[in-house]
Amino acid sequence: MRTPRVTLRWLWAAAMSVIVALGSFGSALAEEYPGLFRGVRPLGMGGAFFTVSNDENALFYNPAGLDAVKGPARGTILNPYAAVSEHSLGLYREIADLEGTDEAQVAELLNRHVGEHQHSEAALFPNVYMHDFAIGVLGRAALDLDVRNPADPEVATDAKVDVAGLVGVAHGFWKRRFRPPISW
Amino acid sequence: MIRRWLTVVWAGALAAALLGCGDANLFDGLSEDTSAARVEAAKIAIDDGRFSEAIAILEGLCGADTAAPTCDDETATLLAAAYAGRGGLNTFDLIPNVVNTNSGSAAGGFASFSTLFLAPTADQKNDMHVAVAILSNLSNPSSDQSLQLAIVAMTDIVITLGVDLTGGFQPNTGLPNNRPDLSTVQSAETADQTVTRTSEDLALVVQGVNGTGLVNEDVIDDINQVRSTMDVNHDGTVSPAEVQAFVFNL
Repeated sequence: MRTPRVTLRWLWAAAMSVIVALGSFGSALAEEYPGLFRGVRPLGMGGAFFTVSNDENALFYNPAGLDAVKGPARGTILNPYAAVSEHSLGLYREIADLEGTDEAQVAELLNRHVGEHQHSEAALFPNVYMHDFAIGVLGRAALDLDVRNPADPEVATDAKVDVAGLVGVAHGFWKRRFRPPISW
Repeated sequence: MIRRWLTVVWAGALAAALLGCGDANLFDGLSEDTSAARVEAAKIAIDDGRFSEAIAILEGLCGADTAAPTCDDETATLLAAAYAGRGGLNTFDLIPNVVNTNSGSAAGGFASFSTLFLAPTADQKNDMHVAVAILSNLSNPSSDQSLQLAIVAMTDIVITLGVDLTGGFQPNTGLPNNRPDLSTVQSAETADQTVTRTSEDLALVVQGVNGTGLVNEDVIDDINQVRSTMDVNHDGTVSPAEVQAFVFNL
């Protein structure tokens, strides 16, 4: 009787199946993964960027993509980024039109924005990236605001300032079939 | 040989990165609390004005027995807000009223609430009564929950009087459409326990106001004006004669 051989290819397939299964189960239950930074190019590509991930945004999305970076080292000095949600623009205009801090006007303003999520964000991300390696510094400030529950009002604000140094490395094994990434 | 060791080291580093030491890692999703998801769904429904849907979700967590909810105080407070919302209470609408009205009179304080419920219904009365019952059964209410109890109990008084005695209220002024005599009040007490309910609500208004620790706030001033004028002898309860006199003299 022939004994089946356990090869590296089988182990690789089994490991990937477990990781994919865990990832699928998690995403079915979990809320949106809190992203530290969302680059313009990845946002434009939707979820597809995860499969390419060959620029500085790989540090936040999929550092394994650094193994696919070709050519000389590249970088940006400031790389500014700003985002304001559609609802927030309307809210800021209404706040600008407020006369003083009249409680009645503020209550009416908040009542018009119940259930809307307000988000504003600005960031700088100078970085350098090359084949198998990327390094950057992120400075980011974000403000989220929600007005909820008109019967028992709640105004939830969440202000964050992040300053972070990031390093990502990746390396391909077995003819680049396996490209495990690490980022800090 | 070196390549094999490199692979082992790399795999170890990869496992450490995946499992992580912080709060967010690959396995976080597995511990997602489904009751938290249901509470969030209820909050979204309340924000959208879908109060009945929110009540159905939250009663799945808290049960239908308002005296012994099977959920925590925060979720119970949310259920009370859903009932109060379905009963027509929007605190954002109330704030301009309490800021703009003359707080120096019981009529002004009462009108802050009654102008929001010009034609109250029996369904609104039932919803507000459930909201009051839930809030009054909280084990250790916070200052915010006490304020909510005071507002909801005051609203319950206004709706109860509007449905049982006055046939609603006049636009703009919030004054009663009808001013009942004592026999009408006594009949309402017999039929709907209007005075008993008003008296119980008034006691909860006092409990809520005391629990807030707030003084000199517009909404507290309005509530205090109503409470002190209605409870003439300040014994903590109201009689049919006190209710009749209060409504008649608005």
